[in-house]
Amino acid sequence: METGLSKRETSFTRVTNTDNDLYGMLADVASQRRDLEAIKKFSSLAEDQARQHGHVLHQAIAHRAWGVMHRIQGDYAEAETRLQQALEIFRTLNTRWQMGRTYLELGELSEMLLDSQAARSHYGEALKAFEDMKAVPAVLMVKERLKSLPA
Amino acid sequence: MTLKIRLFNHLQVQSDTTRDNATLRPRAQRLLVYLLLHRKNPIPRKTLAFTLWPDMPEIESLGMLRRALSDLRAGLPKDKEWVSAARDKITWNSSTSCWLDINIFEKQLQQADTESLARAVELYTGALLMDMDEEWLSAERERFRQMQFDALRKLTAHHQSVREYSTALEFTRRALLLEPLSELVYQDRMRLQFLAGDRAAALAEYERLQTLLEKEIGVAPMEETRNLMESIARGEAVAKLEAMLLPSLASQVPPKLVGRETEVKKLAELWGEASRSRGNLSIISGEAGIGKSHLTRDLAYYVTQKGGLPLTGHCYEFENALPYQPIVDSLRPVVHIIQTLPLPVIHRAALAHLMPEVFVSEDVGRTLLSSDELRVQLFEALLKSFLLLSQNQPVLLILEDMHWASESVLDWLTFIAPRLTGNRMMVAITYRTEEIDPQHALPRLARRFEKEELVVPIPLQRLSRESNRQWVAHLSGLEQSRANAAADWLFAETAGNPFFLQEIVRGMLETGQIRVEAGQWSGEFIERTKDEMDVPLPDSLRETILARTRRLSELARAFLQAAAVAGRTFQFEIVSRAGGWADEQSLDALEDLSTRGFIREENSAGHFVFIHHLIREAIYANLTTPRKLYWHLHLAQTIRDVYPEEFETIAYHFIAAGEKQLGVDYSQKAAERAEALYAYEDASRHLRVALDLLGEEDHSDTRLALLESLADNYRLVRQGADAMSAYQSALGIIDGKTPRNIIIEARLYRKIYQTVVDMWENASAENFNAVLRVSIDLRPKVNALLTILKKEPPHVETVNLLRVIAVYTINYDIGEKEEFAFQFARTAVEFARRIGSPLILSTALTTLATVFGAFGFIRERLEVSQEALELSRESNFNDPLEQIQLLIAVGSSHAAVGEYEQAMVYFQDAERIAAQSRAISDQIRALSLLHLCLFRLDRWDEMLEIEDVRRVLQETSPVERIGAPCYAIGLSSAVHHWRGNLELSRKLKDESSAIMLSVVGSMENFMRSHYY
Repeated sequence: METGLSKRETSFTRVTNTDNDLYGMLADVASQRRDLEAIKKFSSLAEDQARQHGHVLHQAIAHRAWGVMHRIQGDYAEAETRLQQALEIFRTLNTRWQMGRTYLELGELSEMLLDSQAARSHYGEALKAFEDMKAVPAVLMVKERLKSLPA
Repeated sequence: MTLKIRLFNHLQVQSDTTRDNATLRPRAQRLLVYLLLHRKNPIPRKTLAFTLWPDMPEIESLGMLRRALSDLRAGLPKDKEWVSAARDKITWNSSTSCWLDINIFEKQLQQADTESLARAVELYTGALLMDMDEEWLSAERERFRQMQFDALRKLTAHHQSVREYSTALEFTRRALLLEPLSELVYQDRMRLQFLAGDRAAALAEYERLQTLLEKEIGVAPMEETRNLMESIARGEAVAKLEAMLLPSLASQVPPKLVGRETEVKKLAELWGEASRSRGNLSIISGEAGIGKSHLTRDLAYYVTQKGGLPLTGHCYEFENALPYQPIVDSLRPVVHIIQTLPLPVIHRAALAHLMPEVFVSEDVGRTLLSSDELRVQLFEALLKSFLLLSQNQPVLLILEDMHWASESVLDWLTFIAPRLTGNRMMVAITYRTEEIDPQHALPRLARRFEKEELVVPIPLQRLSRESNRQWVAHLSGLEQSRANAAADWLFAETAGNPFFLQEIVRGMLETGQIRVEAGQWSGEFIERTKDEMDVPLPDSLRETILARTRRLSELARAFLQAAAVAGRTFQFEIVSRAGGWADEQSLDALEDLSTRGFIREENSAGHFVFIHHLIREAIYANLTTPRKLYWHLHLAQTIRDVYPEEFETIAYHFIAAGEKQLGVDYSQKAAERAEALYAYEDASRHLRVALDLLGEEDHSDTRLALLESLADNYRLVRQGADAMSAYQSALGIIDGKTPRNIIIEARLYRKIYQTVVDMWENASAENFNAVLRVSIDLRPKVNALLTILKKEPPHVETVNLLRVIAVYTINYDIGEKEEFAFQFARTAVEFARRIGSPLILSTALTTLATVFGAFGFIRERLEVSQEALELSRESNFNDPLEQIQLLIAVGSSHAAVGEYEQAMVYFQDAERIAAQSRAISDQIRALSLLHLCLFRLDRWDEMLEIEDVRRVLQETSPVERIGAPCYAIGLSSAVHHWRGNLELSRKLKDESSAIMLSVVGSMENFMRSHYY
């Protein structure tokens, strides 16, 4: 996709709606890969666009990507804020897969904060969401995480 | 324990240890026989009871069946379950070890080689169960008798071909036991006796037949038999009979192809694969006369023996055939079956275009299919016809001489090649290697599909010296050592080309250089070659053929010349009328030509065909130019009188006769018909021919119309660069004209820029850049035209040009593109408002919305799209296609700002209208956009349901669709991945990539839009 963006047959000063979608997707992929440079680059672009056009889904995806970045950088409070903001939007949209993935990130954050109880609660919510979506690999992964939490 | 059962003659049941006849009660025998005759299927008890005991009431007959079953089980060896009896059905258990004579008989006949045939006929020791008098047996008894009779005749033909006359006579004797009054068998016996050197015995056979027919049914022998007798009586039949022998044998048991063992084996394997639902395409190539048609004829024969259905179509050089002609021709013999097949209505309607005399054009309701979709629908209809036929018996489609195929046939072949897998259909095509270059569609087809093993190339080489020797020994009836000298002489002359060799031999048979005595060659040729002396022979194949024509009567030669101008296949009536000959004269000429092996009858409708293309080509090439012009003109006029709708052939002959204007007129008509059949490349060919006739200096309106049509056709098949060039030539014609027609100019420029815009999604970067350069160079002229148009009263063409230029500017212009794009789009809207048509205004607004969207004004895009949509709700807006586009535009605007729920409402509406209008591509697009919204909203189950609907539609119109439909497949792949269905996910990912690559070529050619 990044190669696609660099293709030169267009030379817009503004981004198009196509690019808008691409930025959202690239920000999401960057957060999954924990690629801080890419998160910074594409989340900024995605967020700008989302704000300009009121695109709440992309806004939520950008929030989550920033949350992941802050967590990796050790800014746990900002990470929590961003992830909760993302979760709030996903709840409103009732996008269960996105909710599950955000709970998963929150669970990881709680683990880093050594809050097993909160982690268990977040993982539990993620598990419910993934089960709703019949996302079997994600369900198994979350069950493993739950098992590995201290009693 | 093995059970041995014989049904020929009378029932015998033996086990391999005791060799005792099993004693079975009559009712058990009946049941056993019936089950054995229907051993491949379970038989319902009721059917059995009713058939075996038809006079009993149902309950009693069912009771009788139970008792018969019990008797049968008691009478057969106990170690196996020979009969499986379920509650409602009874089956002979085929998995048990049972030797059954009829089973072996049928299997041997299917093998079709001489040894198997010989083994089969020995199994037939008498009629099937001749001592059982059951009504249900008689049809089967007759079937086996007929199979035995056919096998005996094939064996007769085989032994005749290898000069084993006494063995052949023995088979005819046995055939006469089955059919004592068969004149065909008596004819065989007369020939055989005569060839064996016993003319008196041959004549005695005739007398015997005459007496028998008179006594039994009071008739005389047929004229054909009497002619044969007279020919034998005059003693002039030796050469004639030998000459007749080759083609007649080919239609019975084809003589073994010498030097082609590898190719024959490969084709047999491919047929085996096709029979097991692994359809394939083989491409047989080689020089003229190398034996391609002989090979396919043998393949067809082999397939018939194996229970398959061979269908053949030919491409011809001279007749400018109708689109899809050879494919349609191949279907004609089975069209009565196709009419009964469950073809969907849309496919029947498509076939009605091709075979209006067979399929009634059915009303399929209003359709809004794109040209691509309509074309694919026709392709599908043709393919489906073959595939439905193949459900009953596997099908072999042979397409001969594809080097002369029109583009429509080549396109269809490219379409079906990847679709044969999984079907019981084999396609074998032939082409001459010297007629085409490596860039021709056929070698490209082979290269494209060879890697996936969908296409198997079968190149034929010239015969080796050794193969040539074997063949001559086979033809001459001489011992190998004696035949070698003659063979080597011929090899030096013909260089291993089998057709050249055959023609030289025919010529020498006619001149008496070769004589046939007692089935063996003798005469001057044999004597001189034996003594290593020179033999005067023609030094080329053409000279050989022409030498033969010089021995014809003057009338026959003139008829042959006219026929050669008519084409490889010609209609007797047309040639006869063109020559102005009386029917009787023409018939004499025709029969003479047929007897001498120049032509043969193709079908009962009076069509004849040259035995080989090379014969026709040699005769045609030898005609003087005035003679060619004369015949072409007379044929054109005759065909125009008799078949005025045969535009293609009439055009061809008028052009060849030098009648320029008539050639242009009929080429134009042929192009229009090809367009109506979605054969755009064929149409382009006709248009190019017409344009060539007019010449570049012609500046008439006719040439302008031809160029515009040609360019439109190029656009339809995505040949953007060619389209641009033709539009430019059209502009060149009106350039210097006064008064200037600015509306036509606007239309042509609009089409030029639309071509560039269309190519953005559908072309590789390389092709796209080529047209882009041309369009940039033309911009100053367009700007100048727009300046003039803006001062004129508003016209729809002005609006359309402004719209297209606006969209073009978004993507390709440099500099102040945003300003210009908005300026063009807003001017289009302003002009459209002045015209006052809601349809024109809505299209202009849609363009403005596109410009807004392109420059990131997504909310503005939504507002303008909604305004355009409102217009479509007005009562005089009667364009469902445009309405669909408006709904999709508004839906997309909502989706672009993340309002997926709102977007879906519009996409659903668009999908509904598209479904009502049968606009399949739009319906698929709307579904794909719904798919995308559902994905974003994590409603995966609903999304996958949509995917199923989309797939069904895609199957009915399998055009490769990039953009949203392709993207949707990728999204489904992601969902299946997240659900752990990795195999399906990978498959869909590959499918999505393959669609993109098939359209764009390679990743290097992807443009920005393709990545998305």
